[in-house]
Amino acid sequence: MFDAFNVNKLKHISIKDKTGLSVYPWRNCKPKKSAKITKPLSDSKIAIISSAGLYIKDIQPKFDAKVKGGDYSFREIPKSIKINSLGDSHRSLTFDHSGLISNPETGMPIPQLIELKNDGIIKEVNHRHVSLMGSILAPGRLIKKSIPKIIEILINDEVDIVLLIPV
Amino acid sequence: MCPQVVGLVQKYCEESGIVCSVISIIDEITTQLKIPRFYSVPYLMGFPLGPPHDFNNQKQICKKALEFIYQ
Repeated sequence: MFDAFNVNKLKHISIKDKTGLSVYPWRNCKPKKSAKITKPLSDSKIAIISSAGLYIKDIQPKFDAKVKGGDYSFREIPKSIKINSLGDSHRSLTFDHSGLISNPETGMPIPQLIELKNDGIIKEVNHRHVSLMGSILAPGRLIKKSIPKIIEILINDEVDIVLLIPV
Repeated sequence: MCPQVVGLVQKYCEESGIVCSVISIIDEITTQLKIPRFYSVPYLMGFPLGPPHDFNNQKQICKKALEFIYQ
């Protein structure tokens, strides 16, 4: 059983938050069947899915901190985005937001992937990426409504590997 | 709850045939979620790729996380 009181990286959070994390009914995220790797990395198209709550300032709505159970919506972030036009709207107060605010690549490293492509490490960076807001206590609507749409995007774009980044 | 959101996306992507590379900040939670393979980073919450503005380190973490799934 998960015990947040014994986790070094959670030392800074409140007793209330530690208790909440310790009694929370964490979902089983083990896939029934894992995908098979069929291509070398250098022949693979990569997309990022980040739970950093990033959105495009002045164009997309922020993630809504008032949604009960957590905002399960997602934002598409184009590869061509100017990274500093991304804003942080993650509602959690349990982590330091300074990195996301001053350097959104912290949660959406598109320029870094483009360099990996230029170095020949990967074949292609997908033309769009996905931003979610990770603070979702009740993930039912995420599973039923958002994830199927995200998977449809990834399949339509013929993405080979998804790089998943929590904050 | 970030690890769970990432974990759930990972689960359904993998079941749909899309390979996932998962970065883990708090391995105790990632393990609790039964995510079968993940790339563990030594950084604190809020900094999954390490110090902000350190482009080369951020790039290396992405590279290592992607290469990790081939091990």
